[in-house]
Amino acid sequence: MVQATRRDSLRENLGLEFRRGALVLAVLSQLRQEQYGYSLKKALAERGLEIDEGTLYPLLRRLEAQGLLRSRWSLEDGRPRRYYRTSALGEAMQGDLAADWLSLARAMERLLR
Amino acid sequence: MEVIDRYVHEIGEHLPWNLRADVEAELRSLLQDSLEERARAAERPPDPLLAEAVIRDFGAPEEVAKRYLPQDQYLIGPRLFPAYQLAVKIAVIVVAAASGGLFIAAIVGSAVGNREGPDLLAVAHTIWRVAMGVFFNLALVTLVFAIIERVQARREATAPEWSPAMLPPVKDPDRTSQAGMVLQMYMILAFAVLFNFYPEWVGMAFVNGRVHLTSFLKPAFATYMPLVNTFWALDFALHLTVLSQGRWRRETRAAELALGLYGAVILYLVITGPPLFMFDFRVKAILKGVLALVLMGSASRLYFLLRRRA
Repeated sequence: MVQATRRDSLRENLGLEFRRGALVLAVLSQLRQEQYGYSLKKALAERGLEIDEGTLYPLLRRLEAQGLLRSRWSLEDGRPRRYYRTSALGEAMQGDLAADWLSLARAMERLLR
Repeated sequence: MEVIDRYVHEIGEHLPWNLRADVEAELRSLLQDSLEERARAAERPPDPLLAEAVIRDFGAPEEVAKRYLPQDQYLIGPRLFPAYQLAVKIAVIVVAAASGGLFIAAIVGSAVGNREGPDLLAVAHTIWRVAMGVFFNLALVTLVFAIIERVQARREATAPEWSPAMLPPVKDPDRTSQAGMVLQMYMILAFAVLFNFYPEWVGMAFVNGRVHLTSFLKPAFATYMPLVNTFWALDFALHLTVLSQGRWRRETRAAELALGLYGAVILYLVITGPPLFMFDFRVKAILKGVLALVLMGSASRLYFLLRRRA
């Protein structure tokens, strides 16, 4: 029982490690069109990538601070919403990271075959 | 929804003021979106139970706030932490040893000539001073390491790209031991604090079973303190520089030589000056020996510097 719990916890930590980098690329790929936080979460979930909100929203702020995203406030149905989209740097970065990702995926596929 | 307001406010409390209002406004709007979505799925209007479920999924306020902050911000980073732990241990051991001695001295000292037993007020006063000493020492150690962390972070930001040519030899006389440097810096600070703030403790001694707190230093010694303090300040700054650079360099070796010569000048002035210590003649004889050692040390450093230049 203890062994199984330890295995679960280790698996979660290792899984989180490789998911962390992938999330940045996933977010950049979806923000070529302007979206606000909640709509982005739904867009990612619809494509099979569930991400908890407590992780996604701070990530958007950090990417904006790094100059990869830009944002603006907009009032919709009486509610203020912050919309994000990739900056020029973010778009270039998304292209570079996507190439890295595909190359890594091909290599992993060969390794795991 | 009141629970959402409280939650957002609590997250804001853990954020820097310049981020707070903006993040709070965004979170409030996003949580409202989540709540409405959940209410639609549950086919009932939003209520406090649904709001609680939303914020439970979101996470503990401290954890969420932490994700909004820049990563890898340390007061003392992982590289310096082992040396910091060592310095704290040294500080605690030094203070514990000194306080043990003082505690015994206070009890014995206050009991002597007092038929009703030890003077509890004097003992309490000593304990208070010791407690302040512990606090002061730990604060000082932490401050020094926080400064080193900042200095190193700034240096790394402007450092040239690493290359294998930068690897030092296996037997490298310029390599520094972090523990050794920290110990030396701590000794400098301890002496500076002792001589400047508690000069009467310099002469504390047991004579015929009684504690004497008569200062070992005569009042005239105070005129030499600016010179001695300057020496300690420069020595501390030199150690700080070497520690942050990770190894001795030509400039810091030259500074060490100059500082040694400055120390020799101070020693010479003390030896040839008026009576400054209890048992002045004997102390000055010891200081003459120290001066000879300092001069020999400086000569070997000069030789080392010239040989490496050649």
